[in-house]
Formats: sequence, C-alpha cells, structure tokens
Amino acid sequence: MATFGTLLLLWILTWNETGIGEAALAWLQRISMFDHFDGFAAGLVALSDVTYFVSLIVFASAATLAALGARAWRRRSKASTLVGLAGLLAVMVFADALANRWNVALDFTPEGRHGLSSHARRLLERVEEPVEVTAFVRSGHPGNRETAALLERLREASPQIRTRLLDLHRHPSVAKEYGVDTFGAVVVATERGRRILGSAREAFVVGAIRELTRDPPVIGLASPPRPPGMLAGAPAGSRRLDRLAQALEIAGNRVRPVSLDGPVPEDVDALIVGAPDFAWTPERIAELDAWLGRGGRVLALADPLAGPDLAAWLARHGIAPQGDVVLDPDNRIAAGEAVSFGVTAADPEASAPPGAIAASLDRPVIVSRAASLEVNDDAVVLLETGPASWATRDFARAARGFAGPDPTTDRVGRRVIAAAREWQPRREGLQGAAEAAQAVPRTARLVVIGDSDLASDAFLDFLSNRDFVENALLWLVGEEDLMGIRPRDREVGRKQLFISAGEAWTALLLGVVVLPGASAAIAIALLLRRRFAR
Amino acid sequence: MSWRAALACWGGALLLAVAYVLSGPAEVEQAPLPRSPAAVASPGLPAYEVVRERIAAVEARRGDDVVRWTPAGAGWRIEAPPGAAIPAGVLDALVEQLVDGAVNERLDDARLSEQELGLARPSFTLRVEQVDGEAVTLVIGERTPTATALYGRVEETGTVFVAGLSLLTYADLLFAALR
Repeated sequence: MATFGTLLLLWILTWNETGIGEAALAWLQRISMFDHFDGFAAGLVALSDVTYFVSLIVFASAATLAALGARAWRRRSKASTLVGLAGLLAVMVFADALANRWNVALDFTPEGRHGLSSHARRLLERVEEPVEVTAFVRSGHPGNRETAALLERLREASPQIRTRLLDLHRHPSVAKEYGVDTFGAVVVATERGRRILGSAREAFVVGAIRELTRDPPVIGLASPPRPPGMLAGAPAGSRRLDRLAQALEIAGNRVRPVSLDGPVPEDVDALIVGAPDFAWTPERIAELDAWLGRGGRVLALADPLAGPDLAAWLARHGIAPQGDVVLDPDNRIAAGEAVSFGVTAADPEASAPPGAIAASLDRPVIVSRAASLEVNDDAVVLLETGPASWATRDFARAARGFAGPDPTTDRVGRRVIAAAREWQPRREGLQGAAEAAQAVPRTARLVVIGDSDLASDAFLDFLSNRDFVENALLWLVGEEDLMGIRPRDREVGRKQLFISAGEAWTALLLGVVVLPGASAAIAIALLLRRRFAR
Repeated sequence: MSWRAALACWGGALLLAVAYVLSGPAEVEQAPLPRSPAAVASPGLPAYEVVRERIAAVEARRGDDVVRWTPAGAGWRIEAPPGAAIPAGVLDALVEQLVDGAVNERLDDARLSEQELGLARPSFTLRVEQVDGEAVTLVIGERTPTATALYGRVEETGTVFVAGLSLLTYADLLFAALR
C-alpha cells in the first residue's frame, strides 16, 4: 500500500499547479513522475527524464530486494541497508542535478515537432539576404535556455541568419538603437527594416523574417466597414475571424478589410470571403467576379449559412456548395456535436499544389456544420469525408445527433468539403487567337471550403485548421513553396485532445473488454494449471 | 545490503557530487557580438557593504546641491546645507535604500562603457562614511533600458551595478526639499 501510495503521489504531485508557489512548483516538477513522462508522450526523449526513471527503477528495485530480505535482517545488515539506500537516494539526487544541468533531448516525432516546424525550415532555407536576430534577455532567467535553443535552430537552418543573445542591462546602447525596453524582446533586422517582437516564439520570429525578406502578401478580408483596428465583425461572437487575421499578420502577411462596395484594391494578393456577418449583394458579387476575372485569388468560406448569392457565384466558377450539412459518424468528435467532425486530405500522397495544401497536414481539420461541394472535373479535391458520411438539407434532423440518413432525400458516401481550382481568365469580347494573346497574365485561383467555422476564433487553433487555411492562402498568393506545418499555440495531446467516435469506441473496447478479459483469461489459466498440477 | 555495497552507493554519490561541482553552471549567455560581449551576471553578490549602525555620515550630491546628514539618536541631523528642512522620512528612506535592497544586480564587466550607462555625467552621487573611517561612494547614472532600474558604480572598487528605481525617487524628494 505504501508503494502504491508513493507512486500515486509522485504521479499527481503537480496536478494542482495553480495552488502551489512558483518556487515550490519548480522543485515538485523535478520529482513528479507525470512531468517527466510528459516529454515521452510528446515524442521527446530527454536525458533528464531518462535519468529520472532509471534512478527510480534502480532505487525501487534495491528497496524491493531489501524489503524481501528484511525477514532475515540482523541488526547490522539493517543498518547497512538503510545507509546504502540513503546513498542510493543521494546518487539519484546528484544524477538528476547533472542530467538537468547538461540536459539533451532527442526529438522522435515524425515531423520534428520539437525542432523548427516544416514551414519555418522551408522559409529559412530560401532566405537569400542577411538576417540578424537579436534576443534581449536577463542573465540567469530560466527561459534563456529556450531562447538560445531557438536562435541556434535558426542559425542551423540558414547560413544567412546571424543571432545574438544579449543581456538587456549590459547592452543599453544596443537596446536604445533598436528601441527595445523589455526583457524577452527579439529584434529581427534585414536591410529592408526591422521588427521588434514581444517574445522569442518561433511563429513570431519566422513571420518577421518572411515579412522582411519577401514582399509581404496583402490578404483582403471581405468584411463590412468597422472601426479602425478591427478586421472582423463583432456580432458573430465565436465565429469571428479576428484570430485568423492576427495569425496571418504574425505569419508575415498584411491583412486589410475589403468592403467590396467598390473595386478590389490592386495591391490585394488574395481575398477571403465568407465572413459570417458579411451581407452579399449583387453589386458586391459583381465586384468579386470582376476581380477574379482579372486574375484574382479567392478563399471562400462557404458554409450553409453563407447565403445563396455567394453559393451561386461559386457554382459558376466550378465549385458549387450544396446548401446541405454533412455528417460523418466515423469521424465525428467523441462527445461532441454530431455535425462537428475531423476531415482529412482527399489525396494524402499529393506532393504538388494545390493538392499539397491538405496533403502536407499532419492532423485532421475540424469542421462544423459544413456544406458539401460539387466540383468540376478540373477542380482538385482537397478535403473529403469518410465513406460512412452523408449530407442532408434537413438541418433540424442533423442537429439532433445520432440520426441516420434518409436514403430517399439524403446523399450517402464520401463528400467533398474543400476544393481548389485554377484557370486562365480571358478578356471579354475577344475570340480565337486574339483572345489567347489578350489573356490575363495571371491565372485565377479559387479555394472553396464548405465551412467558415474552421477559420473562426473558436476553431482556428484546433488540430490542423490554421495550417490548412494558411497553406491555402500561400497557394493563392503564389508562395506554395512555404506550405507546411507551423508551431501550434495549443499543442496536440497536451492542450487539445480530439478523438473520433470510432477511436473512442476502440478505447472503450480495449479498456472495458479486452484488458479485463485478458487478465481474467490469464487468471483462469493459472488456476487451472495449479489445480491440474496437484 | 552489505556495508561494502552501502559504501559503493555513497562512493557513487560522491563521484556525481564532484562532477556536479566541477562542471559548473550551464551558461546559456552568448556573446557573438565583438563590440560588446555579455559577461556572467552575479546577481547574488553585494556590490558594497553598508551597515546602518556603522554609518557616520551620508552625503548626497547633485550638481551644486549637497546634502550632508549624520546620525543623531534615533534620527538624523542635517549638517549641510544649514537649516535645510528635509523631512526625516526622506532621509530614512534613502538610507534604507542604501542599506537594504538598493542593488539588484552586479555587472562585472569592465568593458561596459561609462558613457552608455550615464556614469560619465552622473544623475547624483551618494557617499556613506562609516565609523571605522571607510567610505563608500555610489555614482548613479541613467535608467536601464526597461526604465525600472538605475545604473550605478561603486567609486572605490569600480563595481558597476543595477539599483532599484526607488533610490532615484528618494533622491529626487531630497533635492526637491532644498527648493
């Protein structure tokens, strides 16, 4: 019981982390089994964690041997055992201290998640001009190690990048030159200019490098006029696109609202349409159409609530939202709404764009109340649901959950959730060779997603949602070479956990039937063996 | 467990302890910039030592303004300028700052330029004379880039340090009382 109690205590020691002081928490984390196990769960094998578990196993084994021999203890051996175990504890303490001081970690995740993200590596490999990254820290701060590691990764990724880690107090003139007045600030500088960042996070630094080494793409967001500084609408609540706008800015884009009450500004490289509170009128559709005809690039979030005008316009361009809602029983989120599910790449092997927009993702995209799409032959399907999915126009029945399809009215089978299309627009009124000669120099590109929730504030950080939207925009603006996976604000498996209904059922089967069944079978086998052995 | 095994355990612990001490702290501070390399910080070491009970006199100087005061019983007696009406609380607070907690961090780096720390043209100086005849003179320069602390130097040892901003606050009150 004492062993069980000790192990349980070591496991749950830091669970109430908010109720413990910072200093005490740091020490408890050193002896917490849960905190040392965390890295393994995330695919990171660190020397400090390995040392902890090896020490624990050695000590527990020695203590067990001592306990088994306790019946035969004489007074002398009792004393030597206690002294020896105390020595073993001291070995554990110093081994842990050394391992923490000289900790090294190996990243065993397939995507190298604990190093630079694939998106960052692609960007940095293509940097062709000198970049200087300076981090201003406070000597002795525990976070310096992480900052230094990030700077090292940047240097390793590109010979063009020089990094400096400076103590802010010791370099007041450098800080003054850069206008830095806070610990933890990072300055990214190139010949084009410089950016001061609040903290040394990969997404910020890489976004600034992109902005300062390439011409930053301008992403328009079709939204009604609103006060300066606000990009997406207030009335839509959690379906707002504020976080998307913020993420795009961090990634090195310029984001600006576009009202569509006049021509789309010439400097806009790609336009996002389908914000939940944007009212479509024939005039706005005409402006959008005119822009696409000039080689515009559009990302349409066309969920069932987007309205018939936008759906009809998209249908004219080869990708038609069906005004229905899709359900996927196999991939619906366990304990979630029936209309929320994970959807994956239609062609996971696609290496060329636009197929690579979805194929480069490592997790499903979470959609909710998504409409299915019908696509022309020349369109590329990006996201597709599972074989058991179905689409219905009976929204009330879909929302009830656990309802099955009605074969007379619903369409059963894989449904397209996102697709892309590229074509060469022609100038109107020209025919034949003259038409070819007068073709618009830039191709028109269109990505349609049958859902706007996936890009909304509530859903953007889930699994691969942000990567999918940003990859789609990279293809639209012609920077497909940068498509990949970005660091997540909410790490999968730690700060967000999704399992599908199918996975939940498998886990239930394993936990409730298979494991107890196997234990019972072994017990019965042992019982029978003993009985027959007599 | 035999005594030999127990001894082996303690021997192992001793070896690891020696390795830990010899390996020193893992230093992450880097200094790739040739013009101003960062040095090791010593936040735990005092830059100077002033004990309140051993103070014989304190002198604060800013430009032409000089204030000098000495202990008198539980309080202070202002020697200069004669007749100055400076609240005793301000003198107390300033001395408390000198004795307790004025220094946040020592910057043991001779290559730090006096110019950039504002020590070439100090904001003010504080001289503490002690009963044994020793004196400590603090030269206070500019605010740090975060504007939450001040650079300073101990005149006698050349040690550069970062002090809390309260030192400036009480010094401002002290010199304002002369007006």
